[in-house]
Amino acid sequence: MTDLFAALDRAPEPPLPPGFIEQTLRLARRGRLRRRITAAMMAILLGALGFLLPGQLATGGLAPAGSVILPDRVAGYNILTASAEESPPGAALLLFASGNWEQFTTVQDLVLATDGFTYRHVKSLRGDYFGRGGLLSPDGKAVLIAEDMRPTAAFLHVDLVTGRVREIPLPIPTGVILHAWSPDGRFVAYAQAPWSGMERSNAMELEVRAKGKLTILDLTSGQSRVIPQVAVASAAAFAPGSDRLAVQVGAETTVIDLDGGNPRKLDVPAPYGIVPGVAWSPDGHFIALIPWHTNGTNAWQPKNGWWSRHDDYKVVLFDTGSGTAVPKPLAMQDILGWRSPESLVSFDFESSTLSEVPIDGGTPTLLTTFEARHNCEYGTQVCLIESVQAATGLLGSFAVQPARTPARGPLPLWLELIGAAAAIGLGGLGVWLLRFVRRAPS
Amino acid sequence: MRVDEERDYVQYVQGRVLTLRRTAFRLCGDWHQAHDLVQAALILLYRHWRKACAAGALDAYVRKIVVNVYLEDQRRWWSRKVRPRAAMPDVGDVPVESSAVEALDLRWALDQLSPGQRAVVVLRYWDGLDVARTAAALGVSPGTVKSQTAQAIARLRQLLPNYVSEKLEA
Repeated sequence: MTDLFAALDRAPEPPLPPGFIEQTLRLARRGRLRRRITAAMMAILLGALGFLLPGQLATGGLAPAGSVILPDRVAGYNILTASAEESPPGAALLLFASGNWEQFTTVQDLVLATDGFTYRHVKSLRGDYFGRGGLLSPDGKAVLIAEDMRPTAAFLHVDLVTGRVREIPLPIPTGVILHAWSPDGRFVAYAQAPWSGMERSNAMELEVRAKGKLTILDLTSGQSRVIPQVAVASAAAFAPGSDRLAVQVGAETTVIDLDGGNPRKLDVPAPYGIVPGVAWSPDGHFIALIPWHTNGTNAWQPKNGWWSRHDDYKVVLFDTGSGTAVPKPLAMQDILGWRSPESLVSFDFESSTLSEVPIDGGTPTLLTTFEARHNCEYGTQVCLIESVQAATGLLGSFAVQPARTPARGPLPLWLELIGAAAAIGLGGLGVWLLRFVRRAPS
Repeated sequence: MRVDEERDYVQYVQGRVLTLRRTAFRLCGDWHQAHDLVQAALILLYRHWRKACAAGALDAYVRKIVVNVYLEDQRRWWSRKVRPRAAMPDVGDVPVESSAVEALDLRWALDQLSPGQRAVVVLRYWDGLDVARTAAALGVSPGTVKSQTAQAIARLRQLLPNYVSEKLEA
């Protein structure tokens, strides 16, 4: 075999092409330089991608310090939104759920920061299989969270300024509904009733609304104190001075001092009761009332939220004794709070809009519209807006401005890794194609 | 690359370029393509010069580069195209030596082998490497070299049935 191949070597070898080695050396040097330039460009490209991807866009300057901005369009669900716990947004003006529950339940509990363009999702609110309920503080700097469908062992206090999540344990796990946060930020009123069930329904809510004891959580100490003078607390709302509470006791409405003293039953027209959490006007003159019903259960429930979208829905203002002329019932939907002593902020479920409604019956002013994009349930459903809350202490000071590009914070780690891998893969493919084309004989 | 390293590189290339070109020619069967293969291999060697020097057996390292460049080149789509070649000389009725005919037959038969089989045959029987060094050059196990060799010889037997069998024995 070796001899056979040796016969092939008898033909003379041609000389090397002229300047072969010099040309090879030149190409080698050039290739080295080209690779270095390519590596530098790739590094610059990756760096630029990391900076320019959604959430990192330069936004053209910050709002003046201290100002509160409500954009004229509020963005919604976006899978790229960072969490408030990992990338705190600062004080929030709005807290709302955006998403769709059709099949996959792709929902985010979003906060819109007071700068008007920073969005984060509150990861602690989403929980697991069983939902959670949250209350946005009046100054917008924190969210207090309790379980919605199973006993709460500890409240979660999410600081939106630092991202810190703090547990505030309860003596024993119990069924809880968070009612109201005091305007001074110190107290949270909630109802608690023994509950050990774990079912995905509103059974716990009905039980607590029917039997829940009014309890005041002092956030400075983390201690809770039951107010025994109130038999049942179906809902509650703090007075502007944080010293009194309007409490819905089943079908009755009562005002008490924060220590439980001086209870006074209000003569409100049936079937009305207080607006949960935000009933009291900033000047203390009025308590806003909405219809309540039992809906065939043992518990009185407020017709707020989804119920408020009916055409005959009316809000009634109750004079607390100031002697101020009582306006006529107002046609509006879900009340988020008071913008001023003369106007309320309302959320319209049908149009996903926020409006300012004067209590004198004047024409409502459209404040903002929530975007209803078709990117929920993995692009198969329109995103819906629910459970909208406002930082009640900021409602009087915000200004409506044109919406800016949402800043959603750093990308999730998994996406950054995928993005980096894709960028490297694409870069490699590009280099390979370049070499492929260059080496192809003409 | 430092100046002294580049000087060593150039010296090495000047001393080995013909040997490398011969191996490349044996692999691809075309001098022009052999020039391209060697040049590509030497550019790679320039890039990895320090690593190659540190590897110890520099010749084996460079041979491996040449083989890899050849095999990689064969995987490209244009390698499957017909390569332009100079027209065969019209020899007319001039009697041709049998060894020359054998050489043409063998070259044709080598062209029919797969790139891997051809590389094994060339390295073992034309470059005279043993199984271990052939395996190192190809980056495969000695067992793979043996099996590839057996398959290649069987294929050559099919292609060159008129050759006496002892010529094709390993």
